[in-house]
Amino acid sequence: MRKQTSVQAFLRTAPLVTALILASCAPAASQPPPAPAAPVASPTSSPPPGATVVAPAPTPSPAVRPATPAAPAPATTPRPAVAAETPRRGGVLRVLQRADPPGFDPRQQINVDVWGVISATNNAVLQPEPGNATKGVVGDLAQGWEYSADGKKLTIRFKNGIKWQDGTPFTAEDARYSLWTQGYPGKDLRSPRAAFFENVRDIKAIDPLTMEISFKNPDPVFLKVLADVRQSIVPKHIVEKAGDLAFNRESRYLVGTGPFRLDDYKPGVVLKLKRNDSYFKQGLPYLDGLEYLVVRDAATGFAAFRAGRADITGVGTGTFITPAQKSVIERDLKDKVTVYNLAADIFCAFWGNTAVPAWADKKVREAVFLSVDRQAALQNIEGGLGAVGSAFPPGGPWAMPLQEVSALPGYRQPKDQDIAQAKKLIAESGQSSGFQTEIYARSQAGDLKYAEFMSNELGKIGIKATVRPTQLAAFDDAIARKTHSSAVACGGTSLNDPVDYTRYFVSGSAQNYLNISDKFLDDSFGQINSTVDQSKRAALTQDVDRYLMKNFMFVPIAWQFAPRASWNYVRGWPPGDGHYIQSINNRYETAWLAR
Amino acid sequence: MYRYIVRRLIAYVPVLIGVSLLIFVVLRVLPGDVAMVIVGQGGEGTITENALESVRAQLGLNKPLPLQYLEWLGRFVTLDLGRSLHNGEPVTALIGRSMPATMELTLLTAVMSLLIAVPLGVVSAIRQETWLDYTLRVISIAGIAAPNFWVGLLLILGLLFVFHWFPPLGYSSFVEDPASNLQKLVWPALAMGASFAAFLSRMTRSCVLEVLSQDYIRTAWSKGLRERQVVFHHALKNALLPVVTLLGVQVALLLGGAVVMEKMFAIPGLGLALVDGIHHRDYPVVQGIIVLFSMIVLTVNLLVDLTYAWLDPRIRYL
Repeated sequence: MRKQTSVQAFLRTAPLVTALILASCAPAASQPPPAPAAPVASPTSSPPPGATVVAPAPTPSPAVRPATPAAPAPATTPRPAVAAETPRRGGVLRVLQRADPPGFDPRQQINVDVWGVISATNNAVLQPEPGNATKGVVGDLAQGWEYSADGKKLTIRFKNGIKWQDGTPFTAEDARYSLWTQGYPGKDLRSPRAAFFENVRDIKAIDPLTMEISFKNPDPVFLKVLADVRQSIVPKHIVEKAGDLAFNRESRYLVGTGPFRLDDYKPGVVLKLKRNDSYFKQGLPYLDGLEYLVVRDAATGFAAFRAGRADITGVGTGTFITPAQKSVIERDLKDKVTVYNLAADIFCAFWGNTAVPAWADKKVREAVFLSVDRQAALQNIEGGLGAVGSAFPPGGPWAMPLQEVSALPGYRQPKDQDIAQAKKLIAESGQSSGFQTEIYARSQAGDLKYAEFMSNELGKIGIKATVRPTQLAAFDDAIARKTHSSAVACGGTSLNDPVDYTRYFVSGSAQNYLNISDKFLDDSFGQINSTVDQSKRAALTQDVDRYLMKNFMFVPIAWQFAPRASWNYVRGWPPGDGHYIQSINNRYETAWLAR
Repeated sequence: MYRYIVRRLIAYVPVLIGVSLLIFVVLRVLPGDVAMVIVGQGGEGTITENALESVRAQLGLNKPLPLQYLEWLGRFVTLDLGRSLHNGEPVTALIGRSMPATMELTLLTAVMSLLIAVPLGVVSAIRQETWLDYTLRVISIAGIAAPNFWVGLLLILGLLFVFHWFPPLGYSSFVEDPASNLQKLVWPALAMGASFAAFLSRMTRSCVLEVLSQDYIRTAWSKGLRERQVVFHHALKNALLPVVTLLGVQVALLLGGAVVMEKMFAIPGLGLALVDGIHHRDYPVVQGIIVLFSMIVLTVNLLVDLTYAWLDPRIRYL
C-alpha cells in the first residue's frame, strides 16, 4: 500500500536533498570540456603558390604572416626535436572531413570537401614548390616547361611512364581535355574557375607527352593556376563515358594518377583510400591508405581527434583549430599534439555598400577605418594568431610594406587619438546624430564574431549597427543584388595572386561588396592581369593597395591563419614552409606514421 | 474498419499535395539563389552572369514556377523525386541510403524511452508522495528541461573525460554488423530519448494515477488482488491509451530531434540530408524528404488510432 509523507517533513528535508544534488552536479576539478569549435572564417580558398612566369629564382615568402612587423608566429606546441628518421612504410592516416564531397570532379566542384580528397587521388600539371609554396612551382605530372619569347605560348613536357589507376597510360590529351573543359565547359558542365582561362586561346596536345597552351595576351599567372589542386587532371577516357563526375560519387569514376586510390566509400561516414602501388613517384607514398572521417559537427570532430580517433584535423571552415581548442591542446596534449599555424591568406573585412549615401561619403569611411581596433580583433577573436595588414596578404609581394601599413591612420595604438578623430569626421560629415546600418554576415561563427566586433566598433563613433546573420545562399544573393547596407565577410583567395582579388573591386562583379565602379581600379587590375613582369605587377598591385587604403574603400580587419593539428606520430606532414595550401597539395604522399 | 483505413489512406493525397506545394513555395520565396550557391562554391568560385544562366538552364530553374511544380508532381506520381541539385544523386537513392539510419535511431529512441518511462511512471504513481516519487519527478522535470543537444554533448564529453573513451561515430547497417550498429546508435538514442522518456514518464504517472482512482480498481483492491495484478492486469492497459496517443504525436518531434543528433554523432541520416538540402537550396531533396516525413507522420497517426481500437474494445471505427 502507499505511504504518505507529510508535507512538513518534505519541506524540512528538501533543502538538504537539493544541496546534495547540486553538489554532485558541481563541475569536477579536472579539465573543463573543450569549447565548441568556432569555425574560422568562411571560404577556405587557399592560395596556391606564387610562380614566376619566366623562371628567375623566386624570393622566399615568410613561413607565417607576422602581425605588425613582427617575428613569425611559431607553432603553438613545438614538436619535440627528433633526430632525422627514416620514413616507415605502412599504416593508415585518418583525417577529419567536414562533409561528403559532392562529387569527384575538380573541374566543376572546387569546395574544400572535394579537393581535400582529390589532392590525394589525382595530380595536377604542376605543384607548389616545397619550402616556397606561395611563389614557386615544380613539376607534378610535368617534367618541364618553357614560354615562348613573346610569352604567349607555354609548352609543357610530361613525365614518361605515368599511368592512370586503371592501368591506362596518361597522355597529354588527358591534360588538354581536363584544362580545356574547365576553361570552356560548354553548356553541359559548370566551371567555377572558367574565369582563370579567359586569356587562354587554345590548348593542344602536340604529342602524347607534350602540350601547348596559347594565350591571347602574355599571361602572368597561369603557372600558379596549373599548380593548384583544383586544376587536377581527370582521365578523359573515364570522364567522357561517365559524362559528369560532378554528379558521380561512384568509385569506378574516381580514377587518378595520384598516390592513393579509392578503396571504399560510405557517404556520411568514411571515405577510404588505399595506396596506389603503381604511383609514378618512386617509393611514394609511405602510407597504406587514408581515411577521411566525415564528421559534420566541429565540437564532435575535435573531441574525436582528442580521443585519438583521427590523426589530423581537417581542412575548411569548421575544422580549423580555434583559440580555445589550442588552449586545450597546450594544457592536455602538449607533448603529443602539434598545432600548425598555417598561413592561409584569408582576410576578414568590413565592406560598406557605396550605394548607401553614408558609405559613399569618404569622411564616414575614414571615420570607420580609424575607429577599428585591429589588434583587439586579432587578440579577442583569433587569440592573437594571424596578422594585421592591408588589402593584400601582409608581408607578401603584393601588399604595401608592413612598415608603411603600420604607419597608416587607424593602425596605431592606443586608439584614443584615432577614435577622437573619427568622431570629428562623423560630425563634419553631417552624421553627428549617427546613422543606422545592418551588417550582413554569413551565419557561421567566424564571420559573425567579426560582424559583432564591427557592430561594437561602429557604436563607439555613433553608428548604430545591427548584425544580420544570413545563410550563405541568401548572403551571396544579397551581395550580388547589392541589397546589403554593409557586410562583414571573411574570405580567402584561390591564388596568392592579385588576379584573384579582381572580383572584389572591379565594376560589375557579383562579388563587388562595395558596389563601386572605379576607373583607377578597373584600369589597374586590367594592367596587372596582363603584365608578365612580376616586379612590375607587384609595383602596380602595391599602388592599388595604397589607393584602397588611402581612400578607405573598405576596412581590412585581420588576416587569419588556418591552424591544423596533428598527433606527433604523424611525420612528413605538413611539408615545406607551412603554408596552408601546401598542407593539402602534397597529397600526403610524404606522410608517414611513427608508431 | 477496412473502410476506415482506406478512407484515411485516400486522405493522404490532398495532405501530401498541400505539403509539397507549401514547401515548394517556401523554398522559392526564401532568399538565396541555388545557382549562386552552385557557382559560388562557398565563396571560392567566381560568379559571373553567364555561369549563373548556364546553371539555371541546366537545372530547369529558368522555367515558370507553376511548370516546375507540375513537372515535379508528375514525376512524383511515378515515384521519381528528381535529382539533387548539389550533387546529382537521385533523391530516391539518397532517401534509400539515409532512411535506415534515421528510422532506426527514431525507433531505438522510442523503444528505449518507453522501456524507461513506463516502469518509472508506474512506480512513481503507485509510490505516490514518497521519496521515490519525488526523486523520479525531479529527474523527469530535469529531463524535460534539458535540451537534447546539450545532453548529447554532455554524454560525449562525459565519456571522453571520465572514461577516456569516445563513442564510435557514423553508422553501420544492423544487417551487416548488429553489434557495431547498436554501439553507434545507443548513445544518440540515449541523448535523444532523455527528454522524451522524461515526458512519457510524467504522462504515464498521471494516467496511472487517474486510472487507479477509478471504481473498478477499488473493486479489485477490495477483492484482495495483489498490487501487481491490479496495476498490470487491470490498470495499465487503460492508463496507456493517452500514452500511446502521445507517442504517435511525438514521433514527428523525434524525427526533428534526429537532425541534431545526426550531426553531433555523425550519423548519415535523413535529418542531416534535409539540413544540407536547405543550406544548398536543394529543392528536390528538401521537397522529397519533407513529403516523406509527412507520410511517416500520417502513417504513425493512423497506426496510433488503430492501436487505440485494439487497446480499447469500446472504440470502433466505421
